[in-house]
This record gives sequence, C-alpha cells and structure tokens, in this order.
Amino acid sequence: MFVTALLALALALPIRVAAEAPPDNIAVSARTARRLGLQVGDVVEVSMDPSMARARRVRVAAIWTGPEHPADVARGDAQVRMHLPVLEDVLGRHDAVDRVVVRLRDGAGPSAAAQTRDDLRGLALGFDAYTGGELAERTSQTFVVISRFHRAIGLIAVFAGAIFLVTLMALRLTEMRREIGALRLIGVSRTTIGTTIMLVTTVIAAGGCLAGVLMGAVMVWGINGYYQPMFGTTLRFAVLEPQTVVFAAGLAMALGIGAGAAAAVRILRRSPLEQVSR
Amino acid sequence: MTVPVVELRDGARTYQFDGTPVAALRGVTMQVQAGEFVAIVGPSGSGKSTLLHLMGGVDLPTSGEVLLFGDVTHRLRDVALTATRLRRLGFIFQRFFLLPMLTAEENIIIPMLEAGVAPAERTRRVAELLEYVRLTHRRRHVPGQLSGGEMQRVAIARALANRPSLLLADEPTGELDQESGSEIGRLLQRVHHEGVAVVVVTHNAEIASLADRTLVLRDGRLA
Amino acid sequence: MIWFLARKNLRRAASRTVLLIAGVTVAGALLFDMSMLSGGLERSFGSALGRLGYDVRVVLRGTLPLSTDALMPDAQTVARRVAAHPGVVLASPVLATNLYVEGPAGRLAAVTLGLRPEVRGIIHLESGRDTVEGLVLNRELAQRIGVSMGDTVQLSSRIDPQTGRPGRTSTARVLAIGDFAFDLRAQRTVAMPLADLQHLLGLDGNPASFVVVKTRPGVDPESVVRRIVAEFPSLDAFSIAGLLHQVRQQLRYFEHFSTILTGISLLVAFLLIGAVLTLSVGERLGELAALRAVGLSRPRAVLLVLLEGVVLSAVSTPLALAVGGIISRPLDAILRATPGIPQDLHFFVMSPEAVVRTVLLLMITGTLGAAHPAWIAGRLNIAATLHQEVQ
Repeated sequence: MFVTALLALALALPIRVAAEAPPDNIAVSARTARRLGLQVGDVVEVSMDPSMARARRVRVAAIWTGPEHPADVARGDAQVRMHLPVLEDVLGRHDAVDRVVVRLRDGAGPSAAAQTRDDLRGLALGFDAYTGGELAERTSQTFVVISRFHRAIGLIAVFAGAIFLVTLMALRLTEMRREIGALRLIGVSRTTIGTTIMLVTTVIAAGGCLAGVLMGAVMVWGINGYYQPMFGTTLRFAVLEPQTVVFAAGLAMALGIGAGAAAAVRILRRSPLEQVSR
Repeated sequence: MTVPVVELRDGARTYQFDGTPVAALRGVTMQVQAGEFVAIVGPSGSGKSTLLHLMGGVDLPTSGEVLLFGDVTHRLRDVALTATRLRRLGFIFQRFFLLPMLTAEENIIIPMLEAGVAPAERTRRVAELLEYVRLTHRRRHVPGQLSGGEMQRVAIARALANRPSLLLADEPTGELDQESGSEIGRLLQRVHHEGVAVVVVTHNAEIASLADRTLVLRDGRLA
Repeated sequence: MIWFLARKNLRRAASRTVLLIAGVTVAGALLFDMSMLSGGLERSFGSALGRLGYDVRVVLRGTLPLSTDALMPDAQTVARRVAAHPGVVLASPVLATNLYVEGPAGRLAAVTLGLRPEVRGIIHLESGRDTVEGLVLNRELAQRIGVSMGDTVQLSSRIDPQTGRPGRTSTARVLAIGDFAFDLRAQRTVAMPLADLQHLLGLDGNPASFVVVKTRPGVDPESVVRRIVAEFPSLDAFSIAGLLHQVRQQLRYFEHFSTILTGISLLVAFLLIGAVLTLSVGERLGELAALRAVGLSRPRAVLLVLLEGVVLSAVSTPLALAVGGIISRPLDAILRATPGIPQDLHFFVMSPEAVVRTVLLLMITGTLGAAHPAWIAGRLNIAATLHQEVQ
C-alpha cells in the first residue's frame, strides 16, 4: 500500500507540476511588506493591468530594509524587486530597460568611473551615462532646493531675532539708567560701567543661547518623534549637528552682545544727571 | 449733625515683611470735618503716609473702620471706591507723579476725561485751573520742562479737576525748595478757604502752621 | 481717555515702539508667508486645473494622470460611453508619451501629447487658437531644434541604441507654436493629433493615458465620478477636488513646515510684545499707581495696557502683510526651482483666507502678549507702589 501511495504520488506530481508552475521569487521593501501585510513565503499576484488580467504568481522570498531615499518615503510607493526576465514577462516588453548599471572592478576609483562615463558618452548611442555621484546629485535637487528655502527662512528668523534682542537689551539698560547715572555721579568711570554692562549682556546672551540650543534639541527630538512613525521610517527629519550648534550659538552670542553694546553706547552717551532724573 | 468727610474708628494697618508683621498704624480714631484743614506730622516711619492712604481709600485697614464720606471703605467694592476717589477726592504726591509724556494741561484733563466731563466744560475748567495755579503760560510744557514747584502746582490743579470735597496731600513740599514750598502752602490755603477739606502730611513747619488742627503721629499712634 | 493714554504711552519712547513694531512686523510677515504657503501649491494647482476647463479625469485604477506609462485600452470607447452621460458635455482621450523631434538644429526628446481636436484649453497658441489640428511645439522645443511655424520636423518613437538612428519615424509640418499648461521649466513639449501619435507608436485598439471630461454647468462633478467608477471597475475617476486631495498627501511637508513656523512666529511676536510691555509697565508703576489713586478704575488700568498691545499689533499688521507679500516672491522663486514643478505653479499664493488668518492671529497674539503686563497693572497695590516709588 505504501508503494502504491508513493507511485500514485509520483504519477500525480508531474501533473500538478504541469498544472501550476512554482511562483517566481520577488523581494519587497519593509515598508511595502508592512503596508500590504506581507511576510516571507507569501504568494501574491502581480499584473500590469489593474483588473489583474494576466496576473503572475510570485512568492515573497525576502523583505529588504536599509537606508531609504527621502523621496520614496514622501511618495509612499510600494517597492518590489524581481529578476529582469520575470518583470519583462509581466510588462510584456522585452529587451527594453530604463537604465543599465555598470559596476567597475574592485579598486576602481572616482576617476575611473568618470573615464568610463566619458567613454560611454563618446559612443554617441541613444543614451547618456552618469556616475553614481552625478545621479545622486541630480536626484537630490529637491533637497538642495529645500535646503536653500530653509536657509532663507533662517535668515528672516535671525533678522526678527536680532530686532527682538536689540529691543530687549535697550529696554533692560533703560531700566538700569538711574543706577548707572548714580554710579557715574559718584565717580565710577564709563569704562568700568561699560565693562559691567557688557558682562551682564554676555551672561544674558549666553543664557539665552543655551536655552535656545536646548529648545532646538527638544524640537529636533519632537519633530523626529512625530514624523518617523507617521512616515514609517528611521530617516531623521531634523538633525542637530555640532556645526549647527556652533553656528547658532555663535550667531546668538554675536547678536546679543552686539545689541547690548549698541544699547550701552546709547546709555553712556547721556550725562549722569540726565540719567538719574525722572 | 454733619457727616465727617473722613473718619477713622480704631483704624489699624499691619504689613507683613518676610513673614514678620509690622504695625504701621495702631488703633487710630479721628475725624476730618468738611472744610477743615488738618496737618499730620510726626517722625519718619510713624505711619503718616499709611494714615493718608487709608483716608484716601487707596489702602484698607487691617482692623477697625475707615469711613469716607460716610461709607465704610472696606465694605465698598473697588469700583465704588475708585469712583469716590475720582469725583470727591483729590490726591497730591511728594513725587508729583505727572505723566511725563503729557503736557501740563493734558495732565490736568486726565481725571475729567475719566469722569466723562464734556469737552467744552473740560476746556473751560482746565483754563480756569491753570489760571488758578498761575501756569497758563506753561500749559503746553511737559513735566520735563517744568521746575519742581511748577510740577507740584500742575499736580494740585489735577487734584482739583473734578471739584473734590477733600484734598489729600502727601509731603507736597518734600522735593521743593523753601520758596516753592511756601507757594504750595499758599495754594493749599486758598483751596481750603474755598471750602475744600485739606489733609496734609508734612515735615514742613510752615505748612503745618496753616492748618486748623495738627495731629501728631508717633509710632503708629496719635500722640 | 484710555485710547488717549495708550497712544501717548506708545509715543513717549518712540524708538522703542518703532523697534517693537519692526520686530512684530517681521514675525508677522513670516506668519503671513506661512499662511500663503499652507495650501498654496494646492490652490495654485487647483486654479490651474480649473482654468483648463475639464472637471473630471479618468485613469487606470490605482494611478493618477501622467503617473504611469500604462495605457488605458480602448480609450475611445470609454470616452464615448462617458460622453453619453447626461451630465457630460465632452469626454476625450489624451495620450502622453515621449518622442524624439528632429529639426535643423538637432534632435531632442520631448514630452508628447496626443489630443483630439475637441480638446481645448491645454495649449494656448500664438495665433490665439487653442485646438490641436496639426503639430504644435512649445517655444523651448522650437528654439532648441531651430524651427518655426511652417517648418518640417521628423518625429520618431525610439532611437536604436546600437546605431543611434531613429526607428519608426514620420515627418510633419509645424502648424503652430504654443504655451502648454503644466510645462516644467525648460521642458520640451509637442502636441499632435491623437490618431497620428497612435499610428506612429504602432498602437492598436485606441489606447490612451487618460480621458478628460467636461461636465455641464450646475452638474456636481462628484456625481459623474461616481457613475464612471461604477461603470468601469478597472478605472478611477477624479474631480479637481479629488485630484487635489491626492496631491495634498504629497504636500504634507509644506503644511507641517508652515504650521511649525506659524507657531514660532506667533511665539516671537507674543514674547516680544509681552516682554517689552512688561518692562514698560514696570518702569511706570508709579504713574499707574497715581492714576489709580486719582480715580482710574482697575478694569480700565488693565484695558489701558491691553490696548497698547492691540495697537502695536494693529499698526504692525498692515506692515507685516506688505513685507510678507514682498519676501514671498523670492521664497516662491526658490521653491519653484524644485524639479518636477510646472513653471506656472506657485507655492506662495495670496488668498483672502491667508490675510484674514494673519490679521486675526496677530491681533490675538498682541492682546495675549499684553495680558500679563495688563494683569500686573490691574493688580498693583496702590499704597505699596506709591510708598516704594518714594524710596
């Protein structure tokens, strides 16, 4: 009986094989797998036709993760990788691709890539060639624009902040004018008073600078904490780098101290009697 | 029997400084009748200004009662007390407290504006008051352009803007020289002669001598 | 009296008031710009779509117009059946692809639209007409390949990668030069009769990329969308509002950026007004106590300071709108350099809603900024303040 079962099985298998070819393997991105609820081993259908006519069965053989391009994150497209012949069959289009990727021998540097690119271009065929760096630059144009935009907004914010600082420093020193006048009346020199004012200004600027950097750090944490789950990515939307901190701190100190100096000059130019009078 | 313009019945005022109670005024009982000129004298820290503030309703007693035109001040709502100060009372301060960005006539107009006096009446009254304090020629000057005596005269004019029945003056000559102080004293006497009750807190003997009655305050009590 | 005093107070320290107004103006300008940015591109896109005159677009299910190379089979039949709906004036297929166009100065790839003659509004011809009855080039393409009206060009669908020679070709006379809606900067575009394009591409079965639909006046486009979707299960249909909803998802970044910066601008304005007025009230506590002593009521003392905040905002607001309008131009120019953005679209779009939002937010912020100093003014102890001032 066992042999009979085996025979039956052996006879049956080719028929089953003939009736249903094993699905081709594909890989999907982790984002796509999450979105469609896929796991490794799942069999799905792919088609060029929204009605799923002439669909082809494929098996999810792998789910890939890794650095995502921000544009992909923003678009939220599903991403699938399959072997070229399989895709050609699905598309019904053969021997036609969007691009050809060329990998140079190990050890070939950027100059070799550039040379290869030039050689390919020199063939004057119906296509163009780019190094990986050039392509990255071209596809990053959107982010260059965004970066420029952020910088412009930053300039406006700095301008508003500068006015803010000058106004507050001027007010603060006006509040102290009677004390300053009294000190000058009893013989304390302008230099001593000026130095004291600058010290006060520097401490205020430093305190504000520290508070600002802390606030910026909190905002970076908040922005990433909010947007990463929203877009389902580990890409960082806001980054606080040392050079940013140094630049922001330096600018804040310069503006704060500058505003204080301008206000101090104005105060010290007046006579002490003018300062103590109400 | 006429109602006194202001009366204290065992009035006391205690302040808290860092948790320590300080009795600025202890159990003072006194009255000021209509048209009376009362001077309050005493050493520094004896509670003179505190007494004046209680009389003017700008402060409330910790215990006892203060009656202003017959009304117990601590039973009046702030709106009512403020209205009383606006329409029936005039205040003069040692430091003048004129608004530095307003001219002399604008400073005088402030209480009239707040009381809703009609523009024509305002114009007439401010001219009258400037004439009264002899500052018509300085009407468009701001305080920064006036002497101490002139500023105090503007302050007196402001205090008289709504024709009060009671004028309270806290060290009105404190920041003035002798001559200016004498001038202020003559002005206060003139106001008194026109029927306004005047209460002056002062260190100035000349001013005190103009009063019908002098109250001496020592250590928060009437001597 | 309050208004009189508030005015005088603001003028007494003129340079401070000017600085304060300048600060609130810049913060307000940023606020206005963010109001314009929020939904600006969507408004611009919607406005551009509306100007074309087509209310519904029919596409393959799961796609958007021009988002895929996939073609709708037998689009002519689809268009005919859609046009049969009572609420529809016109339905016409559009085929979009790339062709190589060769003139005396060279051969270039160009975005190509295959249109039927009844499709109007997508191109504006120099001659003033807007229908496509022959070959129409945009200015960029015409200049680059050195042709003008009446010249002949060669069209080909592919270039042999081995030989570099064109595959299937046809020649055509340039009927007109025109401006195409939604062209990208430096984009090369050509339009030709749909049937000619299908023939050149060797397509059978009248396929197209999408179908444009014009509805009758008064007909709700969404009702037409529902009928099309019900009748054609393999197709999707989008009204302009529907398309904008799809686009909105792609533009979330600008919405969020605008929201964050709006918050920061308001915070700056609030802090500036609040800090300056607080210090200013602190400087004149004696005056305020004296005013209270001579009969200014507590609510009116509060109102006095609140009014100063309101006045500062009120004076800054028109300046903020003006400055915001001015700086939005260069900001818009920066963002319009983003790849893939049609040159006719704008990111910063002025709208009544943006103006109203800015005015309201600035006025509210000015009032709130003055709230704390107003509270200080209202709760000051007259006697204690007078006593302190004499020290």
